[in-house]
Amino acid sequence: MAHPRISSLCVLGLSLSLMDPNSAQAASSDVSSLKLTPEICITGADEKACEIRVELRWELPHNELICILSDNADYPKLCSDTPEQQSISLNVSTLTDIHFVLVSKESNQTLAGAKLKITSTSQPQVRRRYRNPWSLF
Amino acid sequence: MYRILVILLTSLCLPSIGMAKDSCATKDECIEMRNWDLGVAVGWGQKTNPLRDFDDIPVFFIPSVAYYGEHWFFDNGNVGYNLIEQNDFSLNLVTSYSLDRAYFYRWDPSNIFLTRSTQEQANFKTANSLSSEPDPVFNSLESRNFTMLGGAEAFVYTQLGTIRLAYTHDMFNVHNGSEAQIKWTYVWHPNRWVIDLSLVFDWKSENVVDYYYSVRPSENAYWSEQYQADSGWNQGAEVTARYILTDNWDLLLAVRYTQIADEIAASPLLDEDYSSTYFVGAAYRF
Repeated sequence: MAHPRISSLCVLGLSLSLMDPNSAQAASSDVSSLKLTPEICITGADEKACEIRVELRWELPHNELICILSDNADYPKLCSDTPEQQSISLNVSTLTDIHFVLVSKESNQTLAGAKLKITSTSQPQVRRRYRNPWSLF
Repeated sequence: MYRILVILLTSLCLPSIGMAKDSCATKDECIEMRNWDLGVAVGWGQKTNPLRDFDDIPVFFIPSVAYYGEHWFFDNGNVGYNLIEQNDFSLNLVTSYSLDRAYFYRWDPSNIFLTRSTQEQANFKTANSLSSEPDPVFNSLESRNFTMLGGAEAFVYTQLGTIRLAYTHDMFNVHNGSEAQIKWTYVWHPNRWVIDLSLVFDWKSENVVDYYYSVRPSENAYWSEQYQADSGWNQGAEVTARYILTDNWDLLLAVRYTQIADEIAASPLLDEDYSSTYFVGAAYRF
């Protein structure tokens, strides 16, 4: 019998640049970036938790040791083992969005952030509204 | 009027405005399907009445009621059916109602939740003029009945705003007239603000103008002969600015100015060739 939480649907390859114009600068060499793949986990209508394996990949102006923190207590601080390391993968099981933050291990300075968004197929559909609700016309 | 147009067009030149916009890009331009969207704005405003000796209309409430299904929709009194929906184009069958009747009647749909202190004619005799024409004093006005218009509307969505083209015709043989509209709207989202700028051109056929603005013999025999109705274009500009306080509460400022067509303003029933409306308040979305 299949576990009901296993059949989470994941949307891969959504570029962070579509969501956050600041990340468009990530390609430049003097800006730190943190990219999460995938960024969105879509759960089925009956599921509650999203179970997914995500990859966190970062780019830095200069290689250094970093740590990744999150606002979810289930995921403690992860730190790179070498300055050359540029990605970490981890399994996630969560009901809510998780915000990851890339910090310098040495200075503890925040360098970049990324967010895993949890959404459900049972969320209401929206469509274009043709009229301004408060128009005086 | 032209000053307002210049301000609106100049504002378009601001670099921050010229951003690309996806269809239904923000929550404010979208609506949840198959769910009633209800709201009310409470505050203070006023709508001037171009009709001679009719009082201006205080505005205390603006209701918002909408329901959108997959194709059918109801939006503040307008019923529509979507035929084509694309990223850059929409085509709908739609009903609407004329705003002209609202000048005459308190309970016209355009005046729902608006109050006016009186709409009875005062039979006020205007100051003596040097003209040999008799003063435009009227007996009780005959009825101007309510009707619904039906037709089609198209929206073209571009990076420089949305263009609405609409053509509707009287569905109930009240005046057998037609109306058309060309409306350009630009929505701007600076921070927590949502600002809608609109320029509107409303065409009214001769039948519409004649039905609402001609003087009937029982009202004044002389003026019923003197004024001959003709079709015309109203021109208007509107700014609606909202400051988003919470998911439910917005601060709201709305201003509208309509320059009434010369063909309508020539009616002796009118003593102003414009109508302006403003409203300041708070809006709540349930």
